[in-house]
Amino acid sequence: MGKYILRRILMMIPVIICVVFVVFMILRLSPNDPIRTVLGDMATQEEVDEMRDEMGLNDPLPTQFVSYIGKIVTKFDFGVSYVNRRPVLTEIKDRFPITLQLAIFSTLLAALIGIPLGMVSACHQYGLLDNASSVLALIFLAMPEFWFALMLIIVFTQKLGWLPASGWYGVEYMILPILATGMGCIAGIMRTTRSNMLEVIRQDYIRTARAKGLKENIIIGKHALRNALIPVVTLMGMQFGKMLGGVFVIETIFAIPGMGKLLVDACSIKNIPVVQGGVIFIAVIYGVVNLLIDIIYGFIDPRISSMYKGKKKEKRGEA
Amino acid sequence: MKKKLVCILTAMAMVLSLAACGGKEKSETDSSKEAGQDTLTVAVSMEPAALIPYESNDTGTSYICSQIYEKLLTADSDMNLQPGLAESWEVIDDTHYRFKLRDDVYFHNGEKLTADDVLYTFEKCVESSATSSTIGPVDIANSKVEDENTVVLALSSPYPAFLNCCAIDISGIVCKSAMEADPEGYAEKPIGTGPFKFVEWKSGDYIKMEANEKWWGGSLNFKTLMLRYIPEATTRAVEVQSGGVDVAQITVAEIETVEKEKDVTVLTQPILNTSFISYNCSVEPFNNVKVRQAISLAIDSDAIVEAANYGLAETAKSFLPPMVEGYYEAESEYQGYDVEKAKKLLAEAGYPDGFSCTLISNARQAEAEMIQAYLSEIGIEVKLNITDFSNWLDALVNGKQEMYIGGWTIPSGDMSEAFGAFDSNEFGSGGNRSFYANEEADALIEVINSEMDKDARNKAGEDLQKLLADECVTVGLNVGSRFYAYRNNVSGLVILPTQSPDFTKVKFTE
Repeated sequence: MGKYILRRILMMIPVIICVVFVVFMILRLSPNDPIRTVLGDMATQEEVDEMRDEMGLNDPLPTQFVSYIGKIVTKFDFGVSYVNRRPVLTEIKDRFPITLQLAIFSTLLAALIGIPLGMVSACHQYGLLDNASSVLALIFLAMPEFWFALMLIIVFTQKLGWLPASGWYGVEYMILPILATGMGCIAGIMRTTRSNMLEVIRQDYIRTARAKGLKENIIIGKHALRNALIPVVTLMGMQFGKMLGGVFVIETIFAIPGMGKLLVDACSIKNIPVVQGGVIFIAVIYGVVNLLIDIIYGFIDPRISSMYKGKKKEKRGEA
Repeated sequence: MKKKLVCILTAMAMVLSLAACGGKEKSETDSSKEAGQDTLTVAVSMEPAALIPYESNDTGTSYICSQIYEKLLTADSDMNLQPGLAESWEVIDDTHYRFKLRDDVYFHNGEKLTADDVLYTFEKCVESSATSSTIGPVDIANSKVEDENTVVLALSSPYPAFLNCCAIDISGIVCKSAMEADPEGYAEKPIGTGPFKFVEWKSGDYIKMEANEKWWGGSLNFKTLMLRYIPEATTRAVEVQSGGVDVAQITVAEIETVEKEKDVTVLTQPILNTSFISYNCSVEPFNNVKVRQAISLAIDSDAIVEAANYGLAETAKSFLPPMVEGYYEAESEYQGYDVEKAKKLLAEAGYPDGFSCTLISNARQAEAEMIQAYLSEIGIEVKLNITDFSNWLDALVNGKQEMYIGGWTIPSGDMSEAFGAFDSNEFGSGGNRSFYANEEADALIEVINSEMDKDARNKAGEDLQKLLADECVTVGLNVGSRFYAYRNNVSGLVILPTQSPDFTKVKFTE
């Protein structure tokens, strides 16, 4: 398992280099001049050229790329924002924890509601609860995120006055954004859990367990759920990773100063250092999240861990 | 073992999450809630690019800097110049101005304001790429400090708009000694003489300021000013309706909803800005005046402005906003809406069947679609390119546009700042994005830029506005406005035509 993890970590390095290269090239080769945008519409061409020199944007592309990578590797320096001259790393450090909270709580909410709902739906297939939750899931899947977020604000802030509509200053501020972000995931998790559960409870080993007289809750909760959850974990991991990149729409509507907002603002004015730094950071985080999912797999899917155990035994036999 | 791992992973997630919880932020807003009447919370749409006035000319920077810093002069709600840090001023001759500073002004770090600080600030304004073109031809080498409270600013050439420039937010006076000692620290924790002292900027979230108890203008009625950055207009409107904030910048689209709230009042402030349709006049077919005249007659500007602004904006009848001195509504036979006449002019121009072109715009989708529909009536097929600011600006500065929707703001309130948009020496980055060249216009612009006699200057402005109306270089859309919604327990809110707010008279009532 240790070797597997190490190999996965090493595999991330070329992926990150590719991401850096692609983002770097796209930003450099896109037609308009970021410096013009930063300096404002009245800046003279001389002033624009001067700042381009200062930022090293007049160097050949390979030189720029090597210099950029060099600064990251040697000084962990991702450059400074063109706009407010703050270090990119400081910007990310300020923003990422907020997005991380939003992602964790939204994923937890989705799992805590979606998995039990999916289980119950599968166990009472075509029952009232199954039909009701399937219809609800379809509604949530079809509903645009921004519309749902605005509806939440209108109902809970404007009409009822129970919760604040913007900011990220405490528990009461988190409820609406987490609901808005989690709702779409709940539907996906619930439907995936349901379909996998239906598949698993028709397996022979479940029939055997029932024949042995095991209690239904043990059969479902212990034997069936564990196998049914494997694809659900994949889905949750993917959704969590996606959220860590910033839930732009939600962050904008609820004025949450997270990664998504940072990156979109940066993209809109071609703030190259922030876009590059942010995308690299997200690529690393996404890789780490995927690695963690694969490790969790090893624990919830005995077939994976036994594969490694088997290899170990073979090696011992050879020795 | 497996259970342990699950526990560890869960614990890690929780710890990360808790570590991410900004206890500090929580206390900030909680304190604002608890402080109640001591804190004015304002929801704004944009963050500053910098905290030093001369480092950026964007609206967000001016907005913040107008609270922290002060200028030599100020412009009131009618754009009349009033004393600011200078208690009096004297025009020595066409190129020399003497300012006598107040004797009771101190920076937030306790240092006294002196003439050295003023000269240093203007030197920085001249050096800065963001402000050099706006501040005017200030000649630092020949400017001088006469005594601690008197400074003479020299110009390299006569510049009638100079006094107005002394009232623009970009000329906010900085503390020379503090800036020289630690420029980076200054950029993070700015020091001005204004009514509010900077406390904290949490990027993407809020800027917190506190009342300057030693402000020469007197004491304020509240202690803390929180500017919260809320990009989504609907959220800002809901926040002010629900009492989450005291004041909010809103857009024209929210006004109807907000006005229904009995505890909220809407304030409308016309600003020094106009929007318009224009062309690249150096390329075919837009270099043909008859084509421009035909387009002008084919578009019902009043209907576009009415529809796009919910009937809450006036149509721009000149390139200048109405409150600028020299504003003139020129009569021209090419104004108004007359499709038949437009078709006739287009045929005379050699395009009886019309032509195809692209209209580039930054946002303003509704207006662009209406323009497209109007022009299809006379056979002009308009392709829309609705893009972001960066692409739009790049196209305009480099002359890649055919037709475009633009806007022009005049922070100084002086007409010379507007007419560079038609000066053939200022193509592209100079401000003339219409690439319009006309010797008569150039001569009039020269008079406007250098003539110190007010009557002669206003006459030149009038003639130029007549010429531009006949030449149809632009088709006016709306005169800009800023809309604010505020809770009824807030009084004394003033928004200036420059778009900067004045919170110094705000007080909370029962």
